[in-house]
Amino acid sequence: MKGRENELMAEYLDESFENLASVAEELTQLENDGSNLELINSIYRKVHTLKGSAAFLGFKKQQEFTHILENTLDLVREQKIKVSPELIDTVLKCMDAEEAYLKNVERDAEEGEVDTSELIKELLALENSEQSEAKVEPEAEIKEEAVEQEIKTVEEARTVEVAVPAPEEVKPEVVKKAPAEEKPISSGGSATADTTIRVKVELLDSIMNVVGELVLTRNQILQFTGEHELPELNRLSQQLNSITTELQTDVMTTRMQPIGSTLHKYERILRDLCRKTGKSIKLELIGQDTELDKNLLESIKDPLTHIVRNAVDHGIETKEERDNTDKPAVAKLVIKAYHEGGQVVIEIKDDGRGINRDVITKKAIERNILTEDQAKRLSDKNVFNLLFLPSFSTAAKVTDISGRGVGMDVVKTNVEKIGGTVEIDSELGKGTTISLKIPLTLAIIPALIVESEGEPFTFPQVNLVELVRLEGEEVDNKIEHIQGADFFLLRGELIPIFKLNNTLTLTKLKDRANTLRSFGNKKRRKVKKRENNVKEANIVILNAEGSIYGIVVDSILDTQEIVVKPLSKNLKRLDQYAGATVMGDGEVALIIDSLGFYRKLAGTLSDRALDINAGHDSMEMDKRVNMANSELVLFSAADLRIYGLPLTEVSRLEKFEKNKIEKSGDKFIIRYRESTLPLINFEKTLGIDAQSDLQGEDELINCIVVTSHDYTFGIVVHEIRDITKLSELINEEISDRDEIKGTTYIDGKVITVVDVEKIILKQGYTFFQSTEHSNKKFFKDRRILVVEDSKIYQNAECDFFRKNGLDVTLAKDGAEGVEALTNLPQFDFIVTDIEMPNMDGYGFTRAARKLENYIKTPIVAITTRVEKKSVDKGLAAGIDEYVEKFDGNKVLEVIRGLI
Amino acid sequence: MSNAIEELKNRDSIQFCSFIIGDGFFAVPVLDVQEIIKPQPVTPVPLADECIRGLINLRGQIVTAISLRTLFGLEDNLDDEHMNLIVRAEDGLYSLVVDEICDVITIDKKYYSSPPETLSAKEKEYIDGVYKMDGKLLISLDLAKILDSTNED
Repeated sequence: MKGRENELMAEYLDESFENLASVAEELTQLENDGSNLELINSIYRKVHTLKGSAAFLGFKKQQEFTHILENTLDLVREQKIKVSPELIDTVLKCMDAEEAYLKNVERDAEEGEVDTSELIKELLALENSEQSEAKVEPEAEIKEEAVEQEIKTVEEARTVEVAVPAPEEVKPEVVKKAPAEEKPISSGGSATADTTIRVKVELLDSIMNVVGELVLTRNQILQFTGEHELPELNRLSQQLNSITTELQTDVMTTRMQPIGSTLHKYERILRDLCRKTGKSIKLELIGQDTELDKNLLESIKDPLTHIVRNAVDHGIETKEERDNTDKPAVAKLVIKAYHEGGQVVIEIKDDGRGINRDVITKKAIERNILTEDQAKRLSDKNVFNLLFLPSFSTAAKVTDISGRGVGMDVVKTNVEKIGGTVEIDSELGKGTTISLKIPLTLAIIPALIVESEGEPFTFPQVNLVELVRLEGEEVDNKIEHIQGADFFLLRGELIPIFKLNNTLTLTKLKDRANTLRSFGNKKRRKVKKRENNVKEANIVILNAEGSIYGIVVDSILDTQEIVVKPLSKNLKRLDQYAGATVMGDGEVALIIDSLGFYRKLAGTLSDRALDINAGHDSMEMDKRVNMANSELVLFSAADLRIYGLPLTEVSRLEKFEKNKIEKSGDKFIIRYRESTLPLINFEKTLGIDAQSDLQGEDELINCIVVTSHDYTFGIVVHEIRDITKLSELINEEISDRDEIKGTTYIDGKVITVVDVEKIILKQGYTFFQSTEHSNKKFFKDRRILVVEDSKIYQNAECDFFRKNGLDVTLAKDGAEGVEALTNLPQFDFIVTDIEMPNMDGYGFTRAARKLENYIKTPIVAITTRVEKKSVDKGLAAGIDEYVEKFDGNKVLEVIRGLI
Repeated sequence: MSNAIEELKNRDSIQFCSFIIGDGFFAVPVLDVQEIIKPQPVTPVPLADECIRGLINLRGQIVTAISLRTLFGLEDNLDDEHMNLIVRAEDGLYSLVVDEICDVITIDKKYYSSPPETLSAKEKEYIDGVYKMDGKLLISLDLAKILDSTNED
């Protein structure tokens, strides 16, 4: 940046870059408003200034080139050349050339070489052809208008006479001879010069930092004041408080820039894209005055450009396509910026073809990101979210504008980097809206302060949805344990919750933490001892990009404006934290990053828990995305190679005594949990040339009990080695047999991952479905009534029963259940929840038993708490059996037992 | 001021801030040291590397404290007798937690030799070299390696 060293040159660069930007903007306006003389004049003036300055600094080539451009513009001004797309095109290209010159100057302090020969030819061609054409054209109709505009121009020249050189003076010779005279014009060009000054961004940054420190000190003083009752100190600190707040707001405002300056650039980009693609699109900018921190503004430029390009290239239909619809021929692209809840929202909305969810899901299934079943269940929003996965481009063809497969994921990463979020919304055939939500500023944020195991933590308030406090019995009633994970029933919806002290291993850390904090003999903040006899839970409900979850903390302390300090690079891998801050009492507290925290945890949530939560689409998706976090059971076969089997499919690991195994036909079976367990010869199934342990000498054989399609099998293996996390995705390309899913590496060793379902099919075990063991046959077309209020259980139960061939009817509470019993054909079985609104399970059962045709129908209660008291109450009401939530197989077993 | 530093850097001798960890006599170039402070309250960072003690509030700046004892494979010393050696790095300040601070020593560069084989592998990872002094061996640490090592997953 050599050119910046010279103060004069730096000034020249600043001013010229600014002028170029506004000329580009004005040119695009001019295209829509070709007769606007004011615009033409303004463009002409700026180009003229540019030429003058270039000449003053001795940039000959740039000066000559600009001179030719100026001549052309002069003819436009005199209306000897018409404003045409070609003209605008050429002038815009000239602006690019000017920019190239300026960049050379910035870098080397010299104008360097820019190839302008083509452009000069184009300019001259315009001058010649248009001039003659213009003469032929009848001038009568524009005459009146022209006169009017001329008057306007004169008026304008009078009011800003310092800034605008009279056209006569602008003869190029004058400039060449006396460049020094032109200087006042360029420096006095801005009428606002007296009221604004240029400030280096670094200086603003540094002021911002100092104000950050001041805010911290202010917080500390306020806290200190609170502890000491001194009226004068109190008064002074209140004064300090209000002054600091004001200063903070003002400093933040200095860094704010209207978003319009950035958005205008898209007029040019859009225009170029339109000419390239032959589409005609009108850009509408709304909310240009919305202000945003300068740094943030810079960092959304690239993402925005990408989104605009996508919209033009893929979103908006070609002219022909558009003609076939009832949409207007000129497409519309709206960029709208507005404030919402402490954030700036930028919406980019097109009226194009919209996103076809089937195309995305098809691709996701191809890529093994989703199964077909999941694809069907996923909400539109989550389908669109797939577009953010790396290398997920659905563009049918790659164009030179977009569609290379890198893109939306980069947009997302960039926006997330500044603490923002991206959302896609689309309606097929109607258009697509992409919204960016950007925080106003980064440095100082309002936050909630909580405590867990005596340690303070803070949550940025942007991510905060609400706070929930449970006391006494509520703690048990409203928190459900499903497959080892906790869920909280928030207004009828189950959301996953995590205990902060468990997830961050705070309990283990406690002693060490107390020692560490006591260093330097500083008084440790008194941790309020809670009365232990009252059971309570404080849940901080957070939003991680649409996934709602809760974190359980010990107590909620306060809200404060905190100054975010980044963590050092050796702590960066801990995505759970967004940084750290110094609190009012001088203690350091970690800031929890709600998204990072959730992502780290989603991997630890057992897949079963996620399955139950099938209705919760976003978690489903996280599960797929977090495939890399799933676990494998590693075992060896007789060939001593290592194989892996997904832990999710494994029910148990068992050792069986050989002499208990029986042979039925050519199949091996064993009595297992009061049922028959078919055993699978793993070696034979995979065609491994080694003898299975089934035929071996050992007294005990190792068996992996798996469940697939609700049938249970035992796979006989040589040795069970380990259960381990899958560190990378399974490579499915290397699979040469159906029974093998693919391979992966664990600790540098190749692991062959097997496909349980295929192995079972290979056994010819379909016979199972035709025996009396088959639930499907037994339950085929039998009618079951499910009475359940929780959405997630509704889905899980109905799906399960349907899978087993039952004809399922759902009632949302006891009252609806009774209605179903009275109005619908006879049900064969009933399962009911106990805790429900309107009418609970007891009431429902009592009502059912009063109905003549339901006196003996099996009624099974599904509940989280099987306590003697409630069981007795249920039995008295007429419930036949209790089953713990939600063990589907057990329910079926119980029902069969009851019949 | 900056000239003085340049001069110091180019001299034949080098100045070290020396300290003790366990039985070892270690040092870092004095120019990398900002200050030495007595024990400070530390905020632990759950789930971080074992050798990262936590965060210290140094006049409003947040400093990451690294226990050199843990880093070198020794048992961490959690009594109140340690010292914080605040060093400057590219991305901010770090505190090296050491047992005891010794003198600032000026040594001629010609006494430098590469790390001896007798050191434990863990220590060797972070060592720049050793300087032979009368009767003692001064082990000079490589700050960049220390800060990088704690950077690994």
